[in-house]
Amino acid sequence: MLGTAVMLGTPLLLAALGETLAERSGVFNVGVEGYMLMGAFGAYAGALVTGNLWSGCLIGIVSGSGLALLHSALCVTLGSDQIVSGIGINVFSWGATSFIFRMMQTLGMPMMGLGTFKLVAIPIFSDIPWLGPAFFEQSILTYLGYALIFIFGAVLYRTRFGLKVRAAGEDPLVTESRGVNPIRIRYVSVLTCGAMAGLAGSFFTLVWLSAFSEGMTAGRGFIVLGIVIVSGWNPYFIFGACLIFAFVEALGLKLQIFYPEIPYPFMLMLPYVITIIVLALRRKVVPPKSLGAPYKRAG
Amino acid sequence: MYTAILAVLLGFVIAAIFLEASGLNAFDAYSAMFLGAFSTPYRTAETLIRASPFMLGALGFALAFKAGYWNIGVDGQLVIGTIAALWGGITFTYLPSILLIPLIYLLGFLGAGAWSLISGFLKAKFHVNEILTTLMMNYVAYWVVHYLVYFPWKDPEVFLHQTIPIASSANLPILAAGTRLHAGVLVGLGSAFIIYIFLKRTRLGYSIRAVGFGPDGARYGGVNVSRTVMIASFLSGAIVGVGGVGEVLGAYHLIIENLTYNFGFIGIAAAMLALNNPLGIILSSTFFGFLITGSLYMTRGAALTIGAVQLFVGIMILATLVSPLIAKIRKKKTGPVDRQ
Repeated sequence: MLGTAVMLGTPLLLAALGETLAERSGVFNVGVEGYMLMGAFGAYAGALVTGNLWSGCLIGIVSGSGLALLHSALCVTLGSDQIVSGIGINVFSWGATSFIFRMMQTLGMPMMGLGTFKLVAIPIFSDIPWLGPAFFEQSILTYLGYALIFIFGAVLYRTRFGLKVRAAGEDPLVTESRGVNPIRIRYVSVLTCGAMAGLAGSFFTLVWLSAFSEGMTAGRGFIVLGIVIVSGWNPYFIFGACLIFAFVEALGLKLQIFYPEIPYPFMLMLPYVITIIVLALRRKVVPPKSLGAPYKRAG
Repeated sequence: MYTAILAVLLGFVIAAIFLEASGLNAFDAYSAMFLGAFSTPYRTAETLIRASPFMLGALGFALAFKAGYWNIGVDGQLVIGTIAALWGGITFTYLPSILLIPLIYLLGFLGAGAWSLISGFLKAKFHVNEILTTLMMNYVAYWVVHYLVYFPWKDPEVFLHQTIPIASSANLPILAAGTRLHAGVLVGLGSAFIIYIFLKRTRLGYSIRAVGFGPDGARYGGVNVSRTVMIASFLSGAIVGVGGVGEVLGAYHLIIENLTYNFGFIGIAAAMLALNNPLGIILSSTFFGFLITGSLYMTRGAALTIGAVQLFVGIMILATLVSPLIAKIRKKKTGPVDRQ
């Protein structure tokens, strides 16, 4: 069951890392859900068209980033409302993926995707009793996720770029006065977020299932937003938070088998209920000061 | 107004690109859509029926938005409204219509209001981000209605997953013979005017707008901010719930699982297109009603429509953002503050 949790937690992890960077730079992405959905569809369709899982994955990443570029153009350049843009992106992605998916069906595109990435056991580590198989018999994307925790942590806290990102999210005006362009920093951060969410979306159609279904991300992008807050905008805490949420989901699936007398809808609503409860309990976290506020360059 | 017109035009243009790209003639599609929505009295009535839940969803969203509260849980609150309506319609069947229908409306109002108040309470008392909690509540509502449709209320005589129908005494009267135009449409219209006056002319409406302009200023002016936020969240959900009631009593008389799914987001889009003006919402939601009804007649039947309409609605929400310059010329209308 822990293995299932790690599996279910991987897309949350990937997207939450990206969203943490974006929010640290001051941009809120309600559209993460949409990036993920578009990424899932892009990866499914891309893999089918090119006949290669890796290029499918790449197309998933590009699909997510494309939407993130739109979000940046509207919110960072034009200074429009980030939440409205995020809602628009979600509705748009839902519509676009369903529309194109159904169009492809009528043109005879197969329902099933190309296939999935194989699970790879890492020698030695996967022999650790109990924990080994759960954490080290996963797909390549999960291992990538592990590595990215440390990469994002290091970039955010140990590099000049990370310092600029944090500065842009706290006080873009002061950042600008020190000769750093907060607009550019925000663009890079949001595009990275889109790429990560697109990768997370690819996980759904290239690892989890070898198929696409309409609205398949089912609000996980919103849970990601909750995870970012719960982990206090800190990449190192994100994996733990993701595991908690994924564990609840895995628990729900497991309980269905052992307690069939409890109707399954109540199990499946658990992750959402838990998100609300955890957000209510952990309310002392302080967000980046300029999160959600557009920045207009002087002159 | 300029923003809305620009957004609609941009929406049509971008959607046309999508249509052309998928091998359809956009001009034919649009004319079929217009004829589909308005060519006969029946179809015009369908457009108005479709618009009704969007209108109430948009009004609910707008009311909370005036208080600086983002109610993105409209979709779930519509679901709760339908649940309350169905429960009332199968439980109090001994009452005459004249009592039963108002009672069911009250149930939907209170039920969805209470549902929405959960997020409002967490926001007001614990500063929990309402954007996230209202979104999460949507998914909880979807699973609740799924449970009811598949288990306790499932109609055993029908193969499809749908609930038993409400008592016929709970059905709303039909306004025009030969159509499905039901009295719930008038409830939507009436609510728009009531909310317009409520926000402009009452003390509570004034407090709500004061909180939206800035909680600190409102507090200084003697407004109880956290109480106002909770009232706004309750009323917002309650108005949306009324829309859900109309769908069951007026349009369907039973629930299938995805009866109103995504209607809430279309409602939010309608509110944004109208810049949260209750009277503007009448127009914008009728426009979205036209979009949905018309698209049924557009091309290649229903298989493509739901996605295509969502696509269109999404583009339109985004298009309202492209014209911030025009919007800024009109004076500062909305100032949502205190986001976290």
